[in-house]
Amino acid sequence: MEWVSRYLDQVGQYLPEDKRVEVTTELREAIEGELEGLAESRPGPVTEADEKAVLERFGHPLKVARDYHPLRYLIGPTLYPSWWQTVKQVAVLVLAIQVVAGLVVGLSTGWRIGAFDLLGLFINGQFWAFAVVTGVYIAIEFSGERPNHLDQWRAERLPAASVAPIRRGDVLTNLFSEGVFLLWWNDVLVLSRWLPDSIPAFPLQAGPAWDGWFWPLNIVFGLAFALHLWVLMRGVWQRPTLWAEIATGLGVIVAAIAICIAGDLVVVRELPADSALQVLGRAELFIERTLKIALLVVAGFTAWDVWKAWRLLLPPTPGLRT
Amino acid sequence: MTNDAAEKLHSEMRRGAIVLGVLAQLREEHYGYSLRKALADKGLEVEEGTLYPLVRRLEQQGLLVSEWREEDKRRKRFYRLSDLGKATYEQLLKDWRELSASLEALNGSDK
Repeated sequence: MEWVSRYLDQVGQYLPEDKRVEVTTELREAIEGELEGLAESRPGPVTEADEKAVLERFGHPLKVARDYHPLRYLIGPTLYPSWWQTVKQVAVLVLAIQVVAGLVVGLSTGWRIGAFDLLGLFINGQFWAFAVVTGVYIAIEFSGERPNHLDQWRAERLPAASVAPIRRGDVLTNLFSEGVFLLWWNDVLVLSRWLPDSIPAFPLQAGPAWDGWFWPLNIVFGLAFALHLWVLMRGVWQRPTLWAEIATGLGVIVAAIAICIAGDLVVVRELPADSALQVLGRAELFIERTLKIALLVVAGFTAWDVWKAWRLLLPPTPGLRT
Repeated sequence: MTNDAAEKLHSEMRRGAIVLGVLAQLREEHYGYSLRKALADKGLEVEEGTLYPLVRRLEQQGLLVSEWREEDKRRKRFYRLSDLGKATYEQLLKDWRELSASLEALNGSDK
C-alpha cells in the first residue's frame, strides 16, 4: 500500500494540523474499502496499478483536502459588489488627492520631482488604497458578519435617477481649475516664487475689489470642487447634483461680476526709478482691464455650464430627439 | 462553451439529488465502499472524490452518526442517519416529490 501512504501524506500536507490525523484515517479507510471492493469483484490480488487507479478516482490530493476545508471566500459573492464599488470610489478620491499633492509638491519644488517619481507615487498610492479597501473587506468576510443593509433595503431609499452621464473631460477640467484656484487663493501656490531672484518682489497686489471675498470664494469653489469629485465618482448627473451645479455656478457668476464692479482688482506698488518693471506701473490700467475681461470670461464659461445643467433638468420636449 | 454550461447545470442539478440519494441509502447502515456500491447498483453513480467529503459534511451537520468497527479483520467506519437526519430526509423527500410533480406538469404542458 505504498501508493496509498504516499497519497495520504500529500493530502495531509494540505490539511490543518488539528484535522490531519482524523481525515487521513478516514480517507485510508475509504481507499482500503474501495480496494477491497475491487478485489472482491474480480479474481487476483490488488496490484499497484489498481491502487493508482483508485487514487486517481479520488482525485488530486489538493482537491481532496480542499473538500475537507470549510467553504471560504476571500471576498464572497455577498460582499463583492460593494467591495468593487468602494475600490472604484476610493481610487478616484485618492487620484484627486494625488493630483493636488503632486501639484503642490511640483510647484513648490520648481518641478524638481521627476515624472517617474510622480508615476511611482501614483502607483504606490493606488496600490495602498486598493490594499486597504481589500483588507477591510477580507476582514469583514472572515468575521462572518454580514452587512444587513441589503436585507433591510426599502424602495424609498433609492437615490435620484440619473439624468445624464457625465463628460469626464469637462468634469476633470473643472476639478483641475477649481483645485488650482483654491491652492492659489489660499497661498499654497505662490506664483511669485517662479520669478528669478534678480527681481526683488512682485509689484502687483490684490486691489480693494477682493476685500471680503476670501471666505465666500473658498466656500463656493470648495463646494464646486467637492461636487465635481462626487459626480466623477458617481459617473452620472442626478437632479440634486444638477441643482448643486447650478447653485455653485451662480455663486461663481455673482462673485465674478461683483468683484469686477467693486473697484480696483490690482494695485501696483511704487517701484524704484531704475526698475525694469516700471513698465508695469504704466500698464496698470491695461492689466486691470485684462483681469476684468478674464473674470467675465470665467463668468461666461460658468454661465454656459449652468445653462447646460438647467437644460438637463428640463423635461424632454415630446417629438424632439434627445 | 455550450457544453461547459450544460455540464455545469447538470452538475448543479445532480448535487442536490446525490444528497437525497445518500440520505435515502443511509436509512440502513453502510460503510464507505458499500454505500457507493449500493448507490451505483440503484443507478446513482457517485465518484469517490464526491461521496466521502459529502458524507463527512453531512455528519458535521448532525444528519449522520458514525462508529468505527472491525469487520473482516479491517477497521471500517459505519454511517447511518441520526434522528435529525431522518427528519431532514423525510422533509427533503417531500420537497423532492413536490418539485418533481411540478416539473412533470411543466413538461407535460409543453406537449
